[in-house]
Amino acid sequence: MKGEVAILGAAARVGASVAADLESEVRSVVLDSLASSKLDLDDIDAVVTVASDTLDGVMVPIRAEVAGAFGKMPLNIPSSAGHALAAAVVLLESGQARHVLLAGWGAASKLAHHDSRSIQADPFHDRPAGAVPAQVAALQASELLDEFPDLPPHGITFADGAVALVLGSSEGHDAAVRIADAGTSSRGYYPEDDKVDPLRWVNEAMAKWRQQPAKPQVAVSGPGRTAEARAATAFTDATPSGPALLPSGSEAWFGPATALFQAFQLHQQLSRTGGEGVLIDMAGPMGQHVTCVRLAGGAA
Amino acid sequence: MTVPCVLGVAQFPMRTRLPDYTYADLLGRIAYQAVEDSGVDPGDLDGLILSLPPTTTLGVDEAQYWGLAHLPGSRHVLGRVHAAAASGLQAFRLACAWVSAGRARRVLVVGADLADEVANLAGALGQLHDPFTERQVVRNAITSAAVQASAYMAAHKVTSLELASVVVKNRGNGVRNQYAQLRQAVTGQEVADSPLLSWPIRRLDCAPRSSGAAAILVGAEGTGRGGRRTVRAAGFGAFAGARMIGSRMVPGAQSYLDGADLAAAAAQAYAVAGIRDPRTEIGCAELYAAFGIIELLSIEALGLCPKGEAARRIADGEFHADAALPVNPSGGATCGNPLASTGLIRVIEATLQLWGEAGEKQVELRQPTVLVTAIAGAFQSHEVGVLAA
Repeated sequence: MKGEVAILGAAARVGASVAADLESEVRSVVLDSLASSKLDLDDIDAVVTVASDTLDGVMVPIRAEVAGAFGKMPLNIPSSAGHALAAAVVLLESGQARHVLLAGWGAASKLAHHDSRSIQADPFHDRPAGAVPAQVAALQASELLDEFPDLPPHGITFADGAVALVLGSSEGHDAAVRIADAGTSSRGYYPEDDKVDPLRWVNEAMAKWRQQPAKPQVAVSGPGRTAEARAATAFTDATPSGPALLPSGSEAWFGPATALFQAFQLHQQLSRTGGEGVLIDMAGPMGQHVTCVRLAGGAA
Repeated sequence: MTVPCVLGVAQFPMRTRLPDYTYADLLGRIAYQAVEDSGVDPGDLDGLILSLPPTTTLGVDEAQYWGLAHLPGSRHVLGRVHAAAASGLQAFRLACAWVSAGRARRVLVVGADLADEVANLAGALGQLHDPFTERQVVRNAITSAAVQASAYMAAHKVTSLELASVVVKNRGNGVRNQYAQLRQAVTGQEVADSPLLSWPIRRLDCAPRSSGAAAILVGAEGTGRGGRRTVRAAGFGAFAGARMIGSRMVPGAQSYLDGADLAAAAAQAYAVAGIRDPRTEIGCAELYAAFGIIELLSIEALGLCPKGEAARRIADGEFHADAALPVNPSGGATCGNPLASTGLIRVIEATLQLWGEAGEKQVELRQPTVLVTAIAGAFQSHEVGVLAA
């Protein structure tokens, strides 16, 4: 592939409850993202999806048709938006695709019926003992606040949402937001570190980056405000109240695809202002699966 | 660009039940076996991909949190891939992309199933279809295959015994596969006399319900142990089908019956791999087929024989293990079908043939090129891969 991988177009709908018409929302963001990229669905070779099929009763890979996947090369990665975004990047860099549509959606308004996060814990030992996402996240926040009392209190707000990004080569797209670096780090349900500190995992994920960003815009998606703020301290300019921190995932959490909304916001911001941005996606009750992506606006 | 290669493989014997293992046990055992097979240090992996289809109904879900701890590469999980029974091949394709892109040197793909831990698979398989329309008319994997089989038999004047020839071939091959769940040969008459599930599909036409596990280490050429032929991932193709099978049954668009979607995926893979005439350039094929009819449709859609001829050709001995182009010399999914692993097992069997390490199931390859496929849903989405030595 000539040039670097870039986000060529993006669209998002996030609200308190759009689940009743979620498929329409998915179609809308797909069409809007294509329009903003100035590409047509016929230009798309591969469609990557990120969503939890436990919420809707029909397998996501089978229903990917609603995201425009019919006839395309599909890839369904329900584990996290960061994993799916990184997959889209390597599909392009490996030559498996020239243009990738990355679509994610979720409906936290359905959590009352079935909380898919409750099955993230070991079913034989931990679930019977009460290992549920809210408790695990609260324990982590408690530990962090004990040591760093200036962090914001734990909290999470649920939402429904759909996001679509169009990715391709930056060549010929001067205004595109390029994906300059990406890395992951992971832990199991019980991280087995001496501290459950997301900053450590973020630093691990960025360890192999070719370059550290200078004064980036930062967008974080994690299990709650405390953990998100702690992760963002990887960038000294990104304080919880600082201007460089964009609205976080815990302000409108809609499942594993949530961080795509943070990617969307970074795309919008960097398209206007240029400069660099960092997306930190921390999936899981403590943010155990971390993906960090460095983005750059403007021409390479 | 780096060419992705298979460095190491491992599979677990498929069984109806594996009561002595937890899911995490299975993943751990098979992951370390694959890494050991490659000769690579377990600490020298760049990432881990989990193949795991749906899930609550299989007794496990979100195992990327509770099943991967301490596995090689688990400090850098690159994602869980879920594409129903195509999960394994899709995950393998993703691992190859990571290596090919130069962002990882070695990536482990692992999958495991404990299908016996829930009462039945009806819930999982039911998720393949629209809950408001198709499920109400008893739309499931078996009735879908029945539609395909009856249409195929009518269109090509194929008898029940000829239809059964696929299962007879595969069950015969499975006898030589030490990992197979079903290792007893059957006759065409036994297939035709087995209990009727949905005409013309009979019990012996169907893949069994299976537990099992498989893992593959993918890496750049030269990053594994020496002494083996290099097995390259030479090309991939894929085609995402429609959610509602009926939406593709308009005149002139009968992909569900004629395999046009699979043919499109194959054309992609062949183009990348430089294959012009699959009948002469493919040495062997490991095709995903949970029902005999799916293998017939696949053989034809992949261009390995003309339309409508696969059943009679198999009945005449073509595509058998000693034929010029063996199909499913391992016995295929007919002899064991753990959903998370089945796509990986197709790649593993192809690799073993290319390495010359398939043991009793080893066939003579006229070309060092093996075709693999996987299907998500009821012939809905297709993955095709070409491996070459």
